[in-house]
Amino acid sequence: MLDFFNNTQTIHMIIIIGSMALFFIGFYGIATQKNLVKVLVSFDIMESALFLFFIGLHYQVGLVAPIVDKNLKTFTGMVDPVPQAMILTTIVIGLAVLALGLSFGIEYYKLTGRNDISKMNELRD
Amino acid sequence: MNLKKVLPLKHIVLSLLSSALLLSVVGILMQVKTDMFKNVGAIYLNLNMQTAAANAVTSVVTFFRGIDTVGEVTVLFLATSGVALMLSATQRTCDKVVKQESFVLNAGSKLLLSVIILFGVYVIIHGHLSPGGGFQGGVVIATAFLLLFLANPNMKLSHGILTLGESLSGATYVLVVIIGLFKMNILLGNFLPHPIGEIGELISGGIIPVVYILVGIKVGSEMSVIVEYFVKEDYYKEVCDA
Amino acid sequence: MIGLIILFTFLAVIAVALGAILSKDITQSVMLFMGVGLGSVVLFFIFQAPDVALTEAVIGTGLSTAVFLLGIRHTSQEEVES
Repeated sequence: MLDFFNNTQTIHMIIIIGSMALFFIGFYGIATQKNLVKVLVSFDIMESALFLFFIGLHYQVGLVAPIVDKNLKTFTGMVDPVPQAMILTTIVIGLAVLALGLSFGIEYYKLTGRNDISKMNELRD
Repeated sequence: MNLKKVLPLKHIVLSLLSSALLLSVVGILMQVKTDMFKNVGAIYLNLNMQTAAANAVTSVVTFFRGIDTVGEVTVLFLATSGVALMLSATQRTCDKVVKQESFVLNAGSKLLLSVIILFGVYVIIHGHLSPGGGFQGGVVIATAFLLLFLANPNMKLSHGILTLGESLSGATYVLVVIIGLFKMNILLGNFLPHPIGEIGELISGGIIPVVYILVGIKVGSEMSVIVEYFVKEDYYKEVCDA
Repeated sequence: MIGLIILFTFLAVIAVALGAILSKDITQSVMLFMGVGLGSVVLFFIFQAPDVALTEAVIGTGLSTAVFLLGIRHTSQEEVES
């Protein structure tokens, strides 16, 4: 029973189903929520799901982190470093973009006193 | 309390739509064989011994994909400029003095500040040996300033020094890229000595720690500016409206 | 064993994310969103990505929550009626 869970194939299946469920929870939030801050929270949940998906699919049972030290002299049997490097920078950029979105929201609230995205119709006429 | 008010029809339809999309995407992704991703990473892992950096992720960020990092740092700079532009446009200043927080919080934040900044600097300069690096260490330094601002909102960051550090580190990064072009005939060539025998030492890896320190300075100053604008916005609202 | 840990952490992350979306209180929603970052840290560590785990620990649970909490004080706390 426990051997079934130590299989790389099973772990990848868990990662695909779990991260895509998380992604579509965020999608549902963006589609239904009216508050601007809740939309940004949903956006960040979708982002986290993508990070988990990218890192998780490159993990295989038995591989170790791509760092050498005194006991591990060569770069063999390690997980793929490229997705880790890409996601590492994406997380930092995600925070800056989140701050940018929140500052737009704050300015909009200061000017109009509302934060309901279904009533944003200032440019209509 | 009827069901229709708690869960409107639109929400049911949207959640069913999300679930259908979820099932189809999972069905497609199940067909993907994970072996097909393994090419680039295997090449970089094979070449990684030549860069003499013990952390393969660091050498991918700063050396193999170093030009990408220039672009990502530019995106970060633009986002920070957008935050500063949006929040400084209508930020009010009033003559009232912002009240200080309690003595314990003030003294504690000053004690912790140096420890947190020291940890951030440690994370930055050991980026090529252990998990960590410029991006993480810069954000750690920004959290130290967040603590300081929460305890004492009257404090001001010197924007001159931050701008100088930020632009100088960015310019030096571009300079390192161009010097690599002239000395090694490729962009971002590793022109400093990096003997393979020194792997695991603090000074090893040629330009890799230099580039990560520059990235650390840049990320740290940008994140500190974001934190400062948000905290100041908050306290001006509380004090000026009262 | 490692698969079971991954499975239960994923279930916890999904539950926290659902709570963050469905909660009516904005502050509660932001604090539950911090749980998503916390679960992600555990998963990144299991997936042998310590660099990403360190980044997510600093940003996802630290600065991101602080920026959200500082930001929502400017916008109204109540959920708008749909």
